[in-house]
Amino acid sequence: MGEGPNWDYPINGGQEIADAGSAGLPFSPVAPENLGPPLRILVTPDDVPVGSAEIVWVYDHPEFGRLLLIEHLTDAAPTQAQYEQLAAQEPGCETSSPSADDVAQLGEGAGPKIVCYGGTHYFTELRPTEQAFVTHGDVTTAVHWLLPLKASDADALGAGFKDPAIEVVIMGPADQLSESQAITAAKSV
Amino acid sequence: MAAASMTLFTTSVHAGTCQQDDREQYFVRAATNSGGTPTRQGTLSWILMANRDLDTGCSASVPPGQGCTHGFTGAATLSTAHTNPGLVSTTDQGKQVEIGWLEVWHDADTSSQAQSRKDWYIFTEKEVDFNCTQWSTQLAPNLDPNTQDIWKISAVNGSSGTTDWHLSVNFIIQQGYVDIETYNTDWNAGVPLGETERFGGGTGMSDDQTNLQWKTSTGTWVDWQDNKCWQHVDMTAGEWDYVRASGHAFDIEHQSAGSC
Repeated sequence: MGEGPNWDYPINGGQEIADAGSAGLPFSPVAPENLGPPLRILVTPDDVPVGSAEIVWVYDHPEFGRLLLIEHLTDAAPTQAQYEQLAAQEPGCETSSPSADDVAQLGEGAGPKIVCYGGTHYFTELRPTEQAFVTHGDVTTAVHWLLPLKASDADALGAGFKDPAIEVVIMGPADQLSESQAITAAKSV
Repeated sequence: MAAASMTLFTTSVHAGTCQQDDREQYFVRAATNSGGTPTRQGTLSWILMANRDLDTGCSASVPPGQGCTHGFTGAATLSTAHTNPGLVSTTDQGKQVEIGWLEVWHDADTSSQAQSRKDWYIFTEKEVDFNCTQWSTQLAPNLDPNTQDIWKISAVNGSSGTTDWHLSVNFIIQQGYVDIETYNTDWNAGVPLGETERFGGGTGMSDDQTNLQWKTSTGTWVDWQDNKCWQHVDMTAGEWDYVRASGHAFDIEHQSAGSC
């Protein structure tokens, strides 16, 4: 299992910058306007692959507490497909008795297979024409949504992306940031 | 707490004063010859199936499948092959899949007259946003202590541009891969990693992962060029160390001269 993010410096080896305009990323970040002054703004080092390029605004927000606003490139179709798959999952565990194949492959006395689905995942309306995807689990609460990429940025990316978009993520610690707070924060961006 | 005389493995169980957060964890990443962090289409590891010490001071039984390992409150220890889309950006760090073995302590149950015992499970996990979104466990008698089994994670293109990560195990005694789980993701290449973790101050984490290989974009399996300790999470006295055995092998050893 993994750990949660470093809530102070979430990008490993990230570089601190003064404003989004100096990010030097392969996409034009959209600076949040209504979350107040961030503690810091971090970008990924120059040598990361384009698909891992990211900017993060780190906040200590008076209402929401510690909050990360993340922007990075993604391919819209697989990301949307992943959202939909997670939204279709019912949290809980399914136990299936060992099959004859299980006994043959795992050994005499193979136990039941327990498959579990954790966390809550659903879509919500962020703005009238904009859907967002909410996740809440054992470590983080997050709201994701996609923004169109500037045409000039998309052209410059080349063949590595099929339908590139900017994925925006609001993320906070699961034990401090509720889903409704995260949605409110996302709406205020 | 189970008395030592009731256990089936009296020589490998240590009672201590358990703190719920007595947890230690190593992540070892693949490296290129120049020390870089590669992303590849799969990873596999020959992992020694050890009969590790379990700290029965952490005597609450660990019910498999109670929240990946985040919900564990008893003695347990595990070794897995593991992959993340990247180790730098927040988004990449929050996604992963893994497969390996999990050793769990169970207290005696007077109602069912079950003796206290250890069990070994096949364990898989998928995380999104650092959260455990799906996991599985299954008791597997073919997990035979002191043998090496091969744990493999392999990417295959899925629908809508997604990627299916196939998780399988080859028990050396059977000589053939057994499909365990398929996890669908929105990322198509990952950093090959090995992971070792223990719960309980007296629980062991001696590990031996060898013949580490990654899968290239052409589908060929080749040896990791090198490996480096990536992360050491330590909420204990820190008694265990990473030791690089070769470019494609590492050990976790008790109080050796190694470090992360």
